Amino acid sequence: MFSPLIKELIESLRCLPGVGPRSAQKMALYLLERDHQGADRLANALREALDKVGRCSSCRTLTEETECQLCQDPDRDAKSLCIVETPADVVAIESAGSFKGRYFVLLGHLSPIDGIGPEELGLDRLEILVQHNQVEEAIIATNSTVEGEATCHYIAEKLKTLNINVSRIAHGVPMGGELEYVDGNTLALALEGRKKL
Amino acid sequence: MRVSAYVIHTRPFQDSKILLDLLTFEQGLIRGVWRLPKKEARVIPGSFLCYEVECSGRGDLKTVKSLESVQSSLVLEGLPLYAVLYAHELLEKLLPTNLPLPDIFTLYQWLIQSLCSGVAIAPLLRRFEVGLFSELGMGINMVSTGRGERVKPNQLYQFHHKFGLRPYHGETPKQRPILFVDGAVALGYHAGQWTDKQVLSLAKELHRNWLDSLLSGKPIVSRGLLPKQPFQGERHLGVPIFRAL
Ligand SMILES: [Zn+2]
Repeated sequence: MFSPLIKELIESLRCLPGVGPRSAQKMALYLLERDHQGADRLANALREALDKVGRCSSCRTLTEETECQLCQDPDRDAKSLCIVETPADVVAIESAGSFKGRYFVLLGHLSPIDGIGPEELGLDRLEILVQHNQVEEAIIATNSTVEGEATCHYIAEKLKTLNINVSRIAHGVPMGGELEYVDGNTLALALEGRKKL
Repeated sequence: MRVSAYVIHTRPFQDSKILLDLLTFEQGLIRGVWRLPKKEARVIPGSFLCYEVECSGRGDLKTVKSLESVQSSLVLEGLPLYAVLYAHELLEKLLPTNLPLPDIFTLYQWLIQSLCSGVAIAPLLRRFEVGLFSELGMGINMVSTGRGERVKPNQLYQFHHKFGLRPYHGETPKQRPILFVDGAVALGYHAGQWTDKQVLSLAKELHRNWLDSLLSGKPIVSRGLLPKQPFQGERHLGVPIFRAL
């Protein structure tokens, strides 16, 4: 039904999360039929980003500069380091707005079944950063999954040997959450991490 | 189909879906796709909870319709948590899918509950491995020789993958064995004497080799998380030897 070039466009749009064959088709036709300018901009932006965006040499988040803006910002406290799994987690914590230190992105978590063991996590980079910036406090903000917990524990053990304060973000009942609907595991963790009033 | 299940592994799939590897009582290891609940309540299932799972589909990939925990949670940290990751990796790498293995489900349940109780981890893992091998029909025979003779406590044996135990009289073996073992230690292994240091040490060496051969050398990544203690006991012709103490 479609010519090879259009087919290829539809197929490539499907790499986007949540885009099935129908929506890929819609998008492709929209770009070709109604928004040539937008399509051109998209193509250029994609090409340029792909060519230029790499990893920050210090925290490993995505950036086209050698060092990302956060790492360059003199107002951010280099002695306080938050360790996260992905660049998206940096964005999430930044949007909360209360953390004023710097980040380190693990680019994943321990997942032996997927072939990611301690060696694949690249923690030597983290150790170098901690020593170079004379980090005093590390906050581990890995996901609260089994693998995230294991990763957290592993990193904590490593960092403790460097004599710095290591803490883990708390897990708990979400804001606006009703206890009745919170699963048992979350409740158990929330109880464990309770706060004195 | 309604099954009791533990989540062994999760992988992102599409935007709001994940792939679940479930160890079920009824169907053994199964794979399913699960649509995560709406964003506010998005929780990746796991954490050693026994779930009641409703799933459908005849193919290899089931559709998980609902997933509800039927048990209060277990909190595992540190080494016990690594031990579970190790158990998960073994299950993933050794179990066929869609084959009912209820005893392995029970074995896994026993393992995580025992790990929570804070007892020594190595004997638990060795017992888990023995259970896994025997349920999969890959058990290690330490009670009789390859020729079917009963093991004698006072005899020294050599152990090969292919031939099992063979009496050893001090000659240079044609094929390098995995290890040498006193009959008494072999029988202790068979009897599950996990408080015996030699038995435990034998099991560690034996299982490591056994797993490597079952997996044809494919690495077990989670080993890197467990304490590394290379064999430091006695050797004979460069091969570990386990003598009754
Ligand atoms: Zn940076």
